Amino acid sequence: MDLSLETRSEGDWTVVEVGGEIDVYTAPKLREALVELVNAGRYQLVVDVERVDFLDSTGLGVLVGGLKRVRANDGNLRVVCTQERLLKIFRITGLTKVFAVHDSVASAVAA
Amino acid sequence: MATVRIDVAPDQAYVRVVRLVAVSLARLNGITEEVVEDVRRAVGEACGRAVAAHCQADLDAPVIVDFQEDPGLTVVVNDVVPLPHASGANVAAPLGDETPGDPQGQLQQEASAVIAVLEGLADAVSVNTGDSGTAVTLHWTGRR
Repeated sequence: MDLSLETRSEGDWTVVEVGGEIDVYTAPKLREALVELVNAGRYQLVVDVERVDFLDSTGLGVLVGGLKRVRANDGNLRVVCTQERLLKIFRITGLTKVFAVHDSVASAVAA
Repeated sequence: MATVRIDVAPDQAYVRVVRLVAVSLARLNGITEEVVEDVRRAVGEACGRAVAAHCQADLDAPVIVDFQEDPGLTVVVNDVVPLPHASGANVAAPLGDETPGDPQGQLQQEASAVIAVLEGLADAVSVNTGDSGTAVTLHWTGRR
């Protein structure tokens, strides 16, 4: 399974819906998408990983990189995730303290 | 002795194949479904790290992954990146985002992050770096 990416706007926010596997092979595609959004002036990002089956440390690295980029522009990057197996990797790496993790896009853009 | 051995060409596209084999062997060994997810993730991390080390060192040689059923499951991921490339920094290769600044310090930080992930996922982890490369050993005890 490959990576799928869909981007849409919700008010001031840009929602990136990711599906498939974010691993060492596919993560560069996500990185490229986030960099393009930031270069296009989109600094309020929601990354929805509800349809992601697998997320490895490279994928986490890309999310952290995205967060750093938007923060450099006074922006935000929020994550939507309710899958326990993905949340576990955020916890193990201590990234629950770094990312605002929401249970829905609606709650992410409203927070 | 390994019950299954895979030679992986140093291309990140094949890491997912190794993950699938790891999941299959974990299930064969009666590892619970919740822990199977940990096996999938940890083996992917360790293998991705080794493949990245080969790519960085411009080596065509395969990464060798040994699976031992003993009971439980032991997975040994071997790279053949010789010293001095095989420093602790290399253990981290796959985690990266292209952050500017001190690359060596960055790699060291990433090394700790990958090890932290592996320790959170496997029952036992050991990393042995020698002249001929690095072996990352992951072990799961099986049924809990």
